[in-house]
Amino acid sequence: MIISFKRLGIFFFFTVGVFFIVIFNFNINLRYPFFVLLASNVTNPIEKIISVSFGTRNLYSDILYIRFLQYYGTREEGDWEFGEGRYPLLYSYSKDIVIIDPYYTNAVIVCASSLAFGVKRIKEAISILRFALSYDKDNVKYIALLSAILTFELKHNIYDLKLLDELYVFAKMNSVPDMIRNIVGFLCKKAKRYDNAIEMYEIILKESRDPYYLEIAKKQIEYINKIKNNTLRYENP
Amino acid sequence: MNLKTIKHIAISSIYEAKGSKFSYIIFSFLVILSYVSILLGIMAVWEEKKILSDFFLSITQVGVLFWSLIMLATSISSDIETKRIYLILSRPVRKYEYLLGRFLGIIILSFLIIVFVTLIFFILLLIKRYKIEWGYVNNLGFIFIKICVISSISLLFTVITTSVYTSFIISMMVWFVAHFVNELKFALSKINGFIFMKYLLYLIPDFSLIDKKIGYVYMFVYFFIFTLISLILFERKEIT
Repeated sequence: MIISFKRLGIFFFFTVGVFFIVIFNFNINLRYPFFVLLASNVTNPIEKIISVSFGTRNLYSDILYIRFLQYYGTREEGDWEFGEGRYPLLYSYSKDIVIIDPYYTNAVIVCASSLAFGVKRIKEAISILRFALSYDKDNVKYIALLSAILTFELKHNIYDLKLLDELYVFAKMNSVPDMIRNIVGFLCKKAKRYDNAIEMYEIILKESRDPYYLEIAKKQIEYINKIKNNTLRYENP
Repeated sequence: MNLKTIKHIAISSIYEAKGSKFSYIIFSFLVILSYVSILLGIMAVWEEKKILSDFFLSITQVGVLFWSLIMLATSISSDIETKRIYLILSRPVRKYEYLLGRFLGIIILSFLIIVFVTLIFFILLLIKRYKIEWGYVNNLGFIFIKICVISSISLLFTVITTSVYTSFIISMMVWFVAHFVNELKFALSKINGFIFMKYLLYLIPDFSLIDKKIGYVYMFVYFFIFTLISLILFERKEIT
């Protein structure tokens, strides 16, 4: 029986290919959380499974983030200006985002800081950050925010200088959301660290694209300069 | 193997696919969704750029996936049904050369669609004054490889069944499972037994491994094996 070199070559490549696939397939990618492990923590499992198996995990995490922003941006009943501000589903929304994409840094930071500093649910904020950190281990922003929240939890004093220092260093990092920078600027102003506050608002002026925060930053810089020059008594504008 | 013949068939395949109704549908689908992406970006105030890039990646992937699977299945099946294939094969063209030409045509046009959508995205970024990041191009590379692999699987099922719907549906199922193989492997590793199921998963490429160090090679091997089997089967197939 004569076997041509061409057939032999094809057979060789085929065998090597199958062998390689079998070996390589032993790898399990641990990049994202497994739904099987999280079981009851996964809300709307069918929606999640469809989005992941369609290959649109990132887009789905964006949609979850928009849902979160819409929920947190809607005024609750209660106080005439800000509503009651309890937002009972905030943790559930945050958990959804972090389960689908723990590498979505800005969304995770906004979720955790809203939980910690917005509705004062520190333990939930910590659980969100710890979950994200268990996947994105080297994310400095997560570590910085976690340490700031922990200091806040320990001291229960928003004007604590160590907390402010940590938050200040964190907010100066690249691509931190405007909301966080605005909060830090505001806290610095209240703690009478006017130079730091001005610096924070200047960063917003330089990097933000949101007209709302640009307007706030301009007004705050003018206001703090007046306070510094003793032309105005401190008062929140 | 006559490369010139393959080139000619690939070029004619590109021209045919370019003028088909389905290509226009996909094109309008992509344009409408590009508009939707702008609205979505506005809704997520601080994350507009990320949402824009994720949305464009997704529509590129879904659009090209549907386009390539349907075009591949219809072009070969309609050639067989309308007996046009006899006209081609009556010339000095081998069956596998015809199939390879058709397949390459679809792959090349898929690549061109990806480039076209990416250009729209880059123009949108420039209008919005955002910087272009190379990570996006890397992700497009992943998408193109996934499209190549799923097209090779679709080619195999088109050759076996010569039915547009069967080939499309099976390929879509493989696409879904391929994104979920990692999870299934993990679940099966925690359960005793089901050895047959564990090895059955090797038939389906694990798309989550694409970002590993030699993920590209892994995908290429699948692509090569599926294409090779399709060519061999088609060469031996009695076309009636």
